[in-house]
Amino acid sequence: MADKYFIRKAEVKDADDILRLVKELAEYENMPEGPQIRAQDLANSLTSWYECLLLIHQPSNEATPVTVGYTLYSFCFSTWVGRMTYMEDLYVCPKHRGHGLGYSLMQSVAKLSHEKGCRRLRWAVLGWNQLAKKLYSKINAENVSLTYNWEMMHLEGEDFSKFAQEKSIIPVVS
Amino acid sequence: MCKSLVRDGFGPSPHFKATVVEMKTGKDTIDDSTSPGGTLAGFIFYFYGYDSWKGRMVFLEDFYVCESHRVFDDVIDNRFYRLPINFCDNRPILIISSFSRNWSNVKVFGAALFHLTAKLAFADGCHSMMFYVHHDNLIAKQFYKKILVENLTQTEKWDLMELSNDHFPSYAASPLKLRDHVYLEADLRIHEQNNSDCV
Repeated sequence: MADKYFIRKAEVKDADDILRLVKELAEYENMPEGPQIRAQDLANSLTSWYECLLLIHQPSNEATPVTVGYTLYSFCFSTWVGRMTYMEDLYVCPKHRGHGLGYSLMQSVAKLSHEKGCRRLRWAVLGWNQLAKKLYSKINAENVSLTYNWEMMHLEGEDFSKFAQEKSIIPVVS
Repeated sequence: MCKSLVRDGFGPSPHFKATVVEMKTGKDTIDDSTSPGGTLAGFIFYFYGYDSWKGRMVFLEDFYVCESHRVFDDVIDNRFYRLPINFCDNRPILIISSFSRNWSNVKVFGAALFHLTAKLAFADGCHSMMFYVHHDNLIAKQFYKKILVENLTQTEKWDLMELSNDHFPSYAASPLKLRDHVYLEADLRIHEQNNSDCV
């Protein structure tokens, strides 16, 4: 009997699994110190702030299925084309790569998005990530940083909270 | 597109939020701030998302302030004032009582608008802000540097990717790929939706 895979929407009970894979992806990206959230944070924000699809592996010989990949995304809006999906993470465990499962995970996001009326899928890729870029070139994705010179900016952690809590941005001259 | 903006910004399930700079001319006082008839002179178009490392985040899609100086003829004096954020009918507004000729309105209102958006997102539990800037946009980059924004394209080498135009629907519509000996099922529980009113 052959191995089986299936994709399903994540639920609150999957929070620990999602966090495990988030950390594996951060390792792959050479930034293992990146993830600072707990499984509870993921559980609290599921559905209201993001959605997630899990790739489940059902081995031929065992009863317990294992989560071996995921994609995390949210619905938003482009002022140019309308409803849009931002794909935050896409990951398949190393052992299960090479079977088109990453492609299928991403395609599931595209299908769901399309059904909701989205007209664009947006995400980011690390410049050195040739494996991912190979997948993206197959589906005619555009590298908007290359073609239009967009750069990704980020304000986070203490810098963000301090900025948000500052009392004024224009100096007072007495 | 107008119908989409109304439905997706102010309908039952909004996809975006916006903060705006609304100019009142003449002798408006702070008490008149809720009266109609102002001109929009700038906006930030944004939405909430999720950063799998830091949690709740706000993504700024568009950030624009008009450069025209037509509305700024009523300069009172050269002093700066603190900018209080008031909430009228649960609508946060930023009241600017005075400003100096030495600041361009792009800088004054841009900074105030950006700060207001950050405060609103922070109050909603966001831990980070993300947005894109054009490589050549030096005015914006100067402002971002001052408030300690990090350029992740420079430091971590991220590239922004998009799948749109015809490529997006054709990718979505094609059947899920399978290989030999790999069985793929997908239980996505997609509900049929009437897309006729989508732009």
